Amino acid sequence: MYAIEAGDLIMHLEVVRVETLREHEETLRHVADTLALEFKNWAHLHNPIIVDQNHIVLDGNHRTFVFKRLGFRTIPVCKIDYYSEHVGLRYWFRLLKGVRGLEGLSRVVEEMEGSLELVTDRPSLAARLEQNPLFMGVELGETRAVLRFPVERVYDGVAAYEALERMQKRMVREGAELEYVPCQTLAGKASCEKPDENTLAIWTPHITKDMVVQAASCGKVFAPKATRHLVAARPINVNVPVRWFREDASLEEMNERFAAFLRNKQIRRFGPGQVINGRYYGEEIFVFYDRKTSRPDQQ
Amino acid sequence: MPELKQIMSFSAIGLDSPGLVSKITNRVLDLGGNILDVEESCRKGLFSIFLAIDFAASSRSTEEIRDSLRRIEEETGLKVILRVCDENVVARPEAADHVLVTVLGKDRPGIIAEVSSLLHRFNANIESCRMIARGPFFSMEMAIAVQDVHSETFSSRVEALKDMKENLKSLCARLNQSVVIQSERSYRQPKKIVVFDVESCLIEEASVRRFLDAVNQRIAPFGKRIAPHLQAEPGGWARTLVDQVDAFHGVPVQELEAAGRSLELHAGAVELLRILKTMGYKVALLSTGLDCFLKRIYEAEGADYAFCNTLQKDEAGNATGDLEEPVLTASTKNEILEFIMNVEDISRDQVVAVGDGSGGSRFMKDVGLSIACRPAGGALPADGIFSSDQMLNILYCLGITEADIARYRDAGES
Repeated sequence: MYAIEAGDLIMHLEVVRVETLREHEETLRHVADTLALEFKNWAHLHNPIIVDQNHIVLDGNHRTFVFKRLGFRTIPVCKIDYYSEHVGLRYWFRLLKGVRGLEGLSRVVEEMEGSLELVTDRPSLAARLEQNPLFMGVELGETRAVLRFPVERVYDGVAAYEALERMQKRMVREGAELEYVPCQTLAGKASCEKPDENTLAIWTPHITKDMVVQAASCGKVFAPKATRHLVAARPINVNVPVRWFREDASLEEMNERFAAFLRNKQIRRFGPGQVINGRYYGEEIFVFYDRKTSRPDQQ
Repeated sequence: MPELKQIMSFSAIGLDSPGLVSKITNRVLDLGGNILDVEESCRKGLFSIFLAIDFAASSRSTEEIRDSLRRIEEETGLKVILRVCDENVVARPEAADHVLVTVLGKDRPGIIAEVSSLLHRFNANIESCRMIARGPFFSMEMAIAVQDVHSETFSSRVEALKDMKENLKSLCARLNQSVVIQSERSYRQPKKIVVFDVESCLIEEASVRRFLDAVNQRIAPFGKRIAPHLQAEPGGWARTLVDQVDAFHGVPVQELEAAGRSLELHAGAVELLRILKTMGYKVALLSTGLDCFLKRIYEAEGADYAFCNTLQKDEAGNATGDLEEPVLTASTKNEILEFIMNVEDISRDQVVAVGDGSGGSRFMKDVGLSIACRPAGGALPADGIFSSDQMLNILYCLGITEADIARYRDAGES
C-alpha cells in the first residue's frame, strides 16, 4: 500500500478490481466514446480514480466506465474518506441558451406537471433551495423561481435529476443550447453574471453525500453531471502502464507492484492554484515524476 | 593527368529558371565528378549556387572539364566562376565552433555593415547570413565561425569571444537593435518548453497601477488597504502584495479575483503564447504572485504549466491573511523549472527562459536560450536582451521565419 497524508486527509493509492467500483452518475456518451478511443492508444494512466472506502467513484466516472467497457480487470484508485471535511460536494448548474422566454419555460414545466414559485432575488432563491434538496431554481433574465415537481414523481435525488434531464433534453430538442457550469460560477456571492431573457439558468438539486451513498449502494445512478466533488488534495501524474491492468494477476501482486512503482518515483507537493499539464488545479496536488537516474527495469 | 584537376569550385549566379540545379549536377556527373559540398539559393528571382567537386576519379582532362562546365554559362545565361581549390583548404575540417547571431529591431541603414565590421575586427568569419524579416522590422540571422577569434584586449580565445559578444551587444544597443547570441550546439538542440517569469515579462506595466487601484477599491469596504509603494524592480508589485498578504485578512477572495481582471498581458505576449502553443512548444508561467489575481490569466492563456502563490481562504471563501504552503519564492522558480524538466523528461538545453535577469530570474541560468526583458543593471548574463514590446521576436530566435509567423497568425484567426 502507498499512502499520502495531506493534513487530516489520507489518500491510499491502491489497485482494485474494476467491477467493484460503483459509479453514481451516468456518463456522457460523447465523452466516454472519446476517452475509449484515447485509452486504446494511451500507454499510461495519468491519474488514479478517486473513490470512497466503499468504492463509490467520486472523480473519474468516465474513466471507470471506459475501463469496464474495454475489459480491464483492475484499476488504480486513490481511496479517501468521503465524509471527511476535506471532501466537498458541489454541483453543475445548467445554462440553456436560446430558450423561448418565460412563456416557453412555463409551458414545458406545466406539461411535465411541475410548478414555478416566483421569488424576489437570489438570496431568497438560495434560501428556498436550502429547505429541500429536491427543489431546483430557475433564472431567466430578472425572473427567479423555485421549480418543483410532484413528490410522487420526484421522491429522491435520482428522480429529481431524471426530471431535470427530461426537461433539459426537451429544451435542447426545441433548439436550446446546453452548457454545464460549476455552481459557484452562477450562485457565487460576487457573481455578476446574470442570464439574459433567452438564457435559462437552472440551479440543480442540492443532493447530499448521504443521498449519493444511498443511490450508489442501491445501484442507482444520477443523470450525467449531477455531482461535482471537490477534494482538498489529489495525487496526479502517476503515469502507470495501462497494460498492467489487463493482466490476470492477484490483487496482492498488483498492489505490491503498484506500490513499488510509486516508491520509485519522486513526489512534489504544490499548494492549490497551479497548472500542470494544461489543467488548473484548485486543490493541493501531489505530483509524481520519474527520477532522472531510474531505468525502466527498476520500475 | 594534369596536376590541378582534383578539386574545383563551381559558382554560378543569374536569373532563376526551372531545371538549373538538375542541369549543373548532371553535367558534373557526366564529367565523373563527385560533389563534396553544395549550397544553392533562390531569392527574389535570382539564382546562386556553389559546388565543391572532386574530379580525382574522372577520366577527363582538366581542360575538358573546364570547357564543359563553362559551356553552362552559354546554355543557361548564368555567370559561371571556376576555380581550382587548394587541397589543404578543402581538407581542413569545418569550423568546430560556431555561434548563431540574430539581430532584430526597427530597420535602419548600416546595420549589416556595422555588425560585419565588428565581427571582422575580432577575426570572426560570417559563414552564412540570411534575412528572416525585412520591412519596417528587420531581422537577420548569421552563422559565425569563431574558432579563430582574437581580440586586442585579451590573449585567450575564450576571453576574446566573450569580449566580442559584449561588444556586439553594445553595438546593437547603440543601433537600437536586439541581439541574441546562441552557441550552435545549443541552437541545434530542439527547444521544447518556453518558461516565462510572469510579473517581469508578461504583464503590461500600465495595467499594474490600474490593478493596484482596483485592489484597494475592492478591499476598502472591509477597512483594508495595501501600501501603494511598489518594489523598485520590474514585477516588484507581485512581491509587494505577497509581503502585505495579511492586509487581505477577511476579504472575500472573489472580490480579489474581480480586481485581478484589471491585470493585462502585453498584446505581443498574448500572441507569442498562442503561436508557441500552436507550434507545439510547451509553455510554463512562473510567478511568486497570488493566484486570485493570476488565475484568470493562467486559465485564459492555456499554459501547460503555471505556478504562483495561493491565498489561503476559510470556509466562507474569505482570505485568512496567510499563504498556502509551500510558498513559492524567487529562488523556488529554478526548482520548479527542474521539476518541469523532470516531468517532461527534457534537458536544460531544451529550455528557453524569459525573465528580467534579476535575482528572481535565476532559472534563466544555463538554459538553452535565455532572454532578458528590460534587464536592470547587474542583471544575470543572458543570450539576448529584448524590451517587453518585442516579445514576439523570441520566435525568430527559435529559427521561425516571418512567413511561418504569418501562417500561424492566419491559422489563429481562422
